[in-house]
Amino acid sequence: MKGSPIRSRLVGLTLLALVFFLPPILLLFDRPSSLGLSILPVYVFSAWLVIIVLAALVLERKDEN
Amino acid sequence: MRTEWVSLAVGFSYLGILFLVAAWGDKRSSQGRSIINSPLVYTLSIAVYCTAWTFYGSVGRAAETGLSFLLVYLGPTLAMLLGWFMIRKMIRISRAQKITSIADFISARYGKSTRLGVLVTLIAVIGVMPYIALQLKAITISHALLTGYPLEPTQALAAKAFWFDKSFWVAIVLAVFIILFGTRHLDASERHEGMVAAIAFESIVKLLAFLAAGIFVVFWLYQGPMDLFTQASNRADLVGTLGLDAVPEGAVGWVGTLILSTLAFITLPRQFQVLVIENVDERHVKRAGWMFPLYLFAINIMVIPIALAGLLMGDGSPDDYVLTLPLAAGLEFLPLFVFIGGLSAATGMVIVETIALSTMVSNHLVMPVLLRWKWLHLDPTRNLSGWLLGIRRIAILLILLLGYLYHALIGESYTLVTTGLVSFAAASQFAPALLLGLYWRGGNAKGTAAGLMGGFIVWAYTLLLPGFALSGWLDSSLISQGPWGIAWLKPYALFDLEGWDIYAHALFWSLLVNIGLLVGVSLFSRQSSLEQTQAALFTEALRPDVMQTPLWLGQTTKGELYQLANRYLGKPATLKVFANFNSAYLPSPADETPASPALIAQTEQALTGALGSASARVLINSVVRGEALDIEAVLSILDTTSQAFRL
Repeated sequence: MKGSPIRSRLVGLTLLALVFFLPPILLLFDRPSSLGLSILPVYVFSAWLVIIVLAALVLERKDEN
Repeated sequence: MRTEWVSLAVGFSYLGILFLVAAWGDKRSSQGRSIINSPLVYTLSIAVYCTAWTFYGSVGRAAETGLSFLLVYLGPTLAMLLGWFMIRKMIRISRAQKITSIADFISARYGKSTRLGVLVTLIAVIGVMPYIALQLKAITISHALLTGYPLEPTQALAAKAFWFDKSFWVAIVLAVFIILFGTRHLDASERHEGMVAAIAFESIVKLLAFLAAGIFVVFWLYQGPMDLFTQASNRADLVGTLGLDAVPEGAVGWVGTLILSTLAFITLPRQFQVLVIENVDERHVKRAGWMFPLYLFAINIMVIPIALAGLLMGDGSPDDYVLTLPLAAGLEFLPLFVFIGGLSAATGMVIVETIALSTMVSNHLVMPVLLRWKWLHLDPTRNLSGWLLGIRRIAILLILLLGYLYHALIGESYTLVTTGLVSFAAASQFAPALLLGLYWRGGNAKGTAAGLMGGFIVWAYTLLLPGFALSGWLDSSLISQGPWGIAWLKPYALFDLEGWDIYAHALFWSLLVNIGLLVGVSLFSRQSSLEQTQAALFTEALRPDVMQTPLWLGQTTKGELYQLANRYLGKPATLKVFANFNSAYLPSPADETPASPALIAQTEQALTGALGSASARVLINSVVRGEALDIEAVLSILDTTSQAFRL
């Protein structure tokens, strides 16, 4: 069965989100900032926003077929 | 301005506005100019996911266990990314089969099984009750804070007698509201448009209120975010708050909560209701796929600043920071607005959850019993459609009273987030039956029933019982030493699986048992022919040629069908069913002409919409003679097309 491009793109995006939100990538960002607090929240929120923007691009794209 | 009367007046005015919005939504719907037919409203209605737990509890959780609060929102983000094919598939099936709840969906998927409907309903009611109790608790505590600050809410509440207990009256007022807007039509598959409009409105209110509180904290109490973070960094005890070390059991707890919230987002009865049942147009799922995560992003962006500011203030319970920060600053208007925001978050959840549960209780617990009562069969002229609405109304009242009882008896010993996650884990037990059922044709009713029961028992043992022990109902040695001193049976460390966060631990064992039994029993038992048909229809639902064929080969007369439908649906709905086929035809009970297969199928669908698929099937079988379904034909049609599809 040939999957539609949007389907494959969404699956890819979900996998990307999993990479972003799970260890070990997550652990790379669990380090103190210059202030002393961990920069983990900044990373998680930024990664989240990136996923949302990519999802919007994929989902709002006009179907080619 | 913070007197008892002002807060009550504001609270009730808010409910009044909600009522007007719902009435407007219903009116527009009956005029055929739906206001909820937009992806934005669909997105906002899904945001019923954000309850009082989000509104007050996120900050509490952030203050105590750092970033773990975010996982509850990252999970739904993942689920929505896959929503365009997964949720759309559920919507299409539900529309074609007139499914009205998650219990109905699972029952219909596995051969319209009455037993599965009962099982799912019981698990949902038991599992979600604490969650409803939690909302009542949040309303009561926030109100006590608003009127009693700087008194601790427990002190302010302790002085009150039982019948002055606000949460009792909150439960009653909500019950009346829900009865007025949730049970206007019998056909539950007719969407509750007014309710959805009200829920969407509530989602805007809670977002604005929470953002207002956050902006106040960051720019009024502090000179911008840098100032706040610098001050927090200067406190040695706060430096670790935001790292992964603050998350319970670190990485395992992180992954566990992420999986838990992904599953619960789809399987919580109220989420299934708004995502699938109340959906107007499946194309809305597409835009909601990114707009809903964006909403979650917006409502979470201020959580960490508020939590840090609360910790710096260092006063009161972290669950109350959203309200105590503006109160401590001596503001008048903002605390009131925040209170309304929390009220909207709590009422939205209670309204949708109660409607979803009451439909399940009436269709899957009460109806099967009524259908088995012989005297109801003996009097075929008796009209039962009025009964059904009555049953649903009583169910709504009982569910809210149960929620209140739970709150009054054991609600005090839990923080907001703990209760919420316990419910999440209960709802997750539906995930294997639901998701495997969408893609794997081999699952059958026996396996699913075994899986659900096994998973539920493990859930009760690893989360519910220890909860009772923590609140003093059971001996706390159950947790520390295990039952009768058997260490490997300790509910938080089953089989000596130590060092896991309690939710990850419970989720792992319960899903292992659940999926293991579902797959194992299914592989070693047979499907009935109805199960085979339903399995094929569900798994192939996104193919355009499915669901169109009239499946009935049995014989019955139009008169008998008319009598049956009239008895359970009432006359107007019945006439509508018959008019779909021949608008000039006037049905009568004495009509002896044979009914066409399409008419039988349509009648069954209409009955399903009102009574659930299992009961509808029992009723149709009671009037249709001979072979009910041409299963072989259906399966061979499906198989040839799916083979052609695969080439």
